[in-house]
Amino acid sequence: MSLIADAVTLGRKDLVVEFRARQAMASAIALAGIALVLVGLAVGPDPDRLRSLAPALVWIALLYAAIAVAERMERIDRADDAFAGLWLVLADRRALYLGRVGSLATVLAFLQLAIWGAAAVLLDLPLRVEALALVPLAVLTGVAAAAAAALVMALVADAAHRPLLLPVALLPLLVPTFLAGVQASAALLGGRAGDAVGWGSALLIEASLFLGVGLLTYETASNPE
Amino acid sequence: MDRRLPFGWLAAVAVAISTVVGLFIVPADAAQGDAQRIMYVHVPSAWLAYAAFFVTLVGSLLYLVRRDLRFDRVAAASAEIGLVFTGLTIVTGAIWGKATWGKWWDWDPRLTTTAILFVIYAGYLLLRQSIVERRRRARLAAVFGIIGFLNVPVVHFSVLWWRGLHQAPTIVRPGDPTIDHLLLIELLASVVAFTLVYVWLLRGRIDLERSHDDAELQLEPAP
Repeated sequence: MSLIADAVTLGRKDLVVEFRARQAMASAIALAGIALVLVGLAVGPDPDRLRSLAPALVWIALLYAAIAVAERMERIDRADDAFAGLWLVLADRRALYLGRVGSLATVLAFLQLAIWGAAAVLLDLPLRVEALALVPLAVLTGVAAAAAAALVMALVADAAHRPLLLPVALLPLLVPTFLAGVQASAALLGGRAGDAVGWGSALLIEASLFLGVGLLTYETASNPE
Repeated sequence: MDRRLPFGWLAAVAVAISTVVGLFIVPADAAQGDAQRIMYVHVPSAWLAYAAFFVTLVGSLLYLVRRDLRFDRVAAASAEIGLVFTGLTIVTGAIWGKATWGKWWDWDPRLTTTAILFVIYAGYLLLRQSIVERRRRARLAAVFGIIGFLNVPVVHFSVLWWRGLHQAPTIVRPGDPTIDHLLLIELLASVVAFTLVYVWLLRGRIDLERSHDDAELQLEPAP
């Protein structure tokens, strides 16, 4: 099989597992819902303040989701030496990385859109036509976050302090993605399409860099030996 | 005699001279007064943090290509020293910020991204601590050393990409530096002095790392 066909098969496997269990998505959506409600209560009924906080709030929930989903997918793969088996079978191990990035990006993009929907209702966001661009933005940010998360997850999979190490290693790396995502979505909601394109370009560069480094180094990072 | 000692003395003398010149000989900045003198520690620390992380990047790349532990030792040693210089940059920046902006910390892009850089390389060192097997530690740390460096350009260009309190580049910029020539000479002298300290620390840290490796290899069971 080709690299892409292997990657699609592996990505689909991750998505089926997540669709059946819905553990990571459920916990991420629960966290986002609680965060939205708590911030709404804390800030009070000031619509302008709530709207200004919305992009950052959505992104904090998404960062948590990136960790929860990536951790769960990797844990399932590593159980019973399944990952070692996949590693030995595949001719081109970059398929493992691409498959993981694909499945993780899909989950993160859907989560982001779901959280935006909840935020639009709870925080009374003005949904102009430009807000439709949140869909490609969700895909782009999903790919950037997934490309970094899949690689870091492989690095810390067997480390002694994984629960501590994963957020310490991953979250700072995702900060540029976080900043660009917050700025791009704030610009979209504010009707500033030009600014959103600029930040979207930064996200594209970010995603390309992480993907490039990931494709070059994933085999080294994930070698179970 | 320790072969690193003469170099250490050279570095110490260079730092002492640049400190005396920076504090007592060059004039104070016309706008900022004496608070500006902290620049002779702050700017070299920031530049050396970048340089140290670049050395970590190069050491990591060379390790992945050659699989020689000497490169891993260089990468690890440089990351540790880079972390110290990043910490020094943040602390001196906060002191300068209190004197100039009236507060220790501001959510300025340069400050925030520098703090994030600190956490990234703390994560690099934590990853190294978390993996027992020597060659595996070197391999995984090398990958992290490469992706960690992706944030360094973000820190450097943050003052151009986002509006904030931190000033734009005054030396590495198109056209002439926007700093008085006398102050610039002292600043460059401080950079040289701090670079000597960096090289001295790097050599010492590599030697220590080599001793650890020798001890570890003796403890490892024979194949």
